[in-house]
Amino acid sequence: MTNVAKFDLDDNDVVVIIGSGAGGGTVANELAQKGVKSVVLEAGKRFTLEDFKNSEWEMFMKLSWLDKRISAGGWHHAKNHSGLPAWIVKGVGGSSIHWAGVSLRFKPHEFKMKSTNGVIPGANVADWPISYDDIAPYYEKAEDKMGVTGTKATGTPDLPENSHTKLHRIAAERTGMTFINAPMAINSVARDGRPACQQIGFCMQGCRIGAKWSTMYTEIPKAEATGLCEIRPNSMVLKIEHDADGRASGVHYVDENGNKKLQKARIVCVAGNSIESPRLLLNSASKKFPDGLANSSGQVGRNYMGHVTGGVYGVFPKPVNMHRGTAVPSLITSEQRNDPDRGFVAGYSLEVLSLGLGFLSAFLKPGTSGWGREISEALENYKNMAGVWICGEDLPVESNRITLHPTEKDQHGLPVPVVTKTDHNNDLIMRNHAYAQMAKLYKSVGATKLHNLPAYPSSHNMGTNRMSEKASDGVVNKWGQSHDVPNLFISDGSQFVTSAAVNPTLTIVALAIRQAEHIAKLVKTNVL
Amino acid sequence: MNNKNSSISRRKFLGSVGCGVAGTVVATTMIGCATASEDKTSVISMPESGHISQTLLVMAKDIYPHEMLENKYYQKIVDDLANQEKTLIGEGIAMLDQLSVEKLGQPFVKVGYEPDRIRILRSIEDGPFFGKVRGALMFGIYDNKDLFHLFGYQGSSWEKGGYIDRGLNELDWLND
Ligand SMILES: Cc1cc2nc3c(=O)[nH]c(=O)nc-3n(C[C@H](O)[C@H](O)[C@H](O)COP(=O)(O)OP(=O)(O)OC[C@H]3O[C@@H](n4cnc5c(N)ncnc54)[C@H](O)[C@@H]3O)c2cc1C
Ligand code: SF4
Repeated sequence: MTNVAKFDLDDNDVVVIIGSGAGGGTVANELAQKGVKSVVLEAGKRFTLEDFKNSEWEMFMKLSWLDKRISAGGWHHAKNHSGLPAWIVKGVGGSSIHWAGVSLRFKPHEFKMKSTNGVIPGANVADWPISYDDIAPYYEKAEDKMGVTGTKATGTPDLPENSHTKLHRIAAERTGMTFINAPMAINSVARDGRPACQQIGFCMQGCRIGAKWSTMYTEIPKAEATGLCEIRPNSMVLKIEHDADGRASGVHYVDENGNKKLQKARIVCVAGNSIESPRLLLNSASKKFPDGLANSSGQVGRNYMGHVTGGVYGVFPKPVNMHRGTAVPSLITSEQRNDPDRGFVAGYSLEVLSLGLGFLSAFLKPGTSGWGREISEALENYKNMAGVWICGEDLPVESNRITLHPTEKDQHGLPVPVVTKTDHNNDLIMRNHAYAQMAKLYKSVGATKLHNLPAYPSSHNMGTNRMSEKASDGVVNKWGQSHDVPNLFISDGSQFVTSAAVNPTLTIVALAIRQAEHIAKLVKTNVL
Repeated sequence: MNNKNSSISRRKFLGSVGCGVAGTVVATTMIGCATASEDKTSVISMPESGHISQTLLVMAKDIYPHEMLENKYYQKIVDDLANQEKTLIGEGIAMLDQLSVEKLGQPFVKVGYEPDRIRILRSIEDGPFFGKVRGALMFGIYDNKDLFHLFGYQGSSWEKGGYIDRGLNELDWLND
């Protein structure tokens, strides 16, 4: 490796990137490849592949962001996951360490949900300021970078079929539903210096062999190898500072030894995922920006979206062994379309998802009543079970939002984030539709019992610093650049305007590649 | 102690102390538990340990009943917990018995009819005592690699090379 970069705290020529996950890690590497210097401040530590054990709860405890957070509002999390609204990693690589790897593009209409469906009462739906055609070339780059199976960009084959997939494929055939092998950011053949997947099955605990794409062992080391990117783990950013002109000038953080530091910056990219990113902007309020940095629109923290989710697990007469092989091997896509005739707008995917015994025992019926014969009998049938995770478009609602708790503080003395969410009626109708479709699907292959699970702690988090054409409607422009603070960028899923019927990460990465290209141009031409 | 007082202190007790296995954030964040409060005053006298142990065993088998699981597995999980959390568990058992005597005229272990016991347990499921016992059982049974095989779960697989050559697609009871 070339010399690892080390930048001075007073070096005000660096781009400071906050967070090293799917968004932040990608921006860092893309900038480095284009010759732009950066410092990545990451709250979590560095892990190695040897840290990844095939054990659900052990890894949950090791990887998760467990700083204090509060769930509020009408969703069941307020009661059943009161301190864990979302399931996010704290570590170099962020949630790309535990993501499953499903990598689907948004559909063209999903960038234009307002023009498609008109105004929806109780929701704050808007069109994206970019179209599918704008992002398409970057989807291709993202697929190539991440090694997505079955795409034109990589030319790699699908992952092999496992029993869990076979059951769903046959069920889909019997019910006339559309089935696909999941396009995965998991190597089906050795590629990019990483091995092919061995079907270990613990993708959401960190891939032990690195077959699954994660910025932890792809973008980050590649960025470091250029000698232009310095990663500082165990560095929690507290506040973004600005100068008299209202431009971001540096960030305050606590370093690995607990000392407070100020890193000067030419440009700041915020990529802390959709709870921490708006929280940081709100915590960066100043005399000039009393409602929080970049918040003249009042939209920072608002329009928090998860996805309309839930799970359905069926018990079958004979073994399935869902735990053998990739966590998400396939999908049912028939309901992804926007078809208001079903009683709701937007669509959803049904993603085949295996859970281990430990997670299933907690998620089968979350809350204090999840015990008794119904639970133990289901778990006794573990090997005869199969399941899906519902991933449906969640509507942006202004009152679903991240706010700062008035009195509670975290270990750094910062106000704790409160995550308030209540399902829109559209969400409820969609979820019930999905439960009904799943019942049809599973009965066709002989299910003897069905368990409908409510949403898990939110794994997809989006929308809290959204893009908009006009400065009054959102936080950032079509490049993810703040309308108010020109050298401040949002580089994660919080820039999403709407959430689509598919997982977010491919789109986060595509936007990050596109944003980095734009930033590099602005740096080279001295505009920023 | 008169009845009115006892039911007030019971309510306070069952809804007061935080729950979760010692040091296990997971239990509180994932199962959802009563939140902590300062008020831990108790007027209960401690039951003797043999009785605690027997009562916990009955309770454990009502919470996650498995014919295939020998008593010794349940017993170890709850006894370990009782050793770690002497006061919470001791007081919890005393309360459970009191409730059981009030409702059914006998201590919990003597209640022979399962639905009666379940009804009593349901009435305290939101409280910290029940939450702790349940949390310990959930992790002790379902996150216990020594018991995985009873459920047909195979646990850690990377050291065996995953499933790529080990029964990845064995399902043979459905045909295209
Ligand atoms: C179990 C699970 C499975 C998933 N599977 C899929 C899937 O199959 N497909 C898909 O598309 N998506 C999936 N996701 C979602 C995916 O993980 C996220 O969409 C993605 O990682 C988000 O990227 P990000 O850059 O916004 O944030 P993250 O990847 O979460 O990175 C944020 C980083 O910022 C750091 N940070 C936060 N605040 C600060 C601060 N103040 N200072 C310093 N650092 C900070 C955090 O520690 C973290 O490392 C899954 C998620 C979960 C939980
Ligand atoms: S199934 Fe494949 S991607 Fe998932 S953990 Fe195993 S090797 Fe990694």
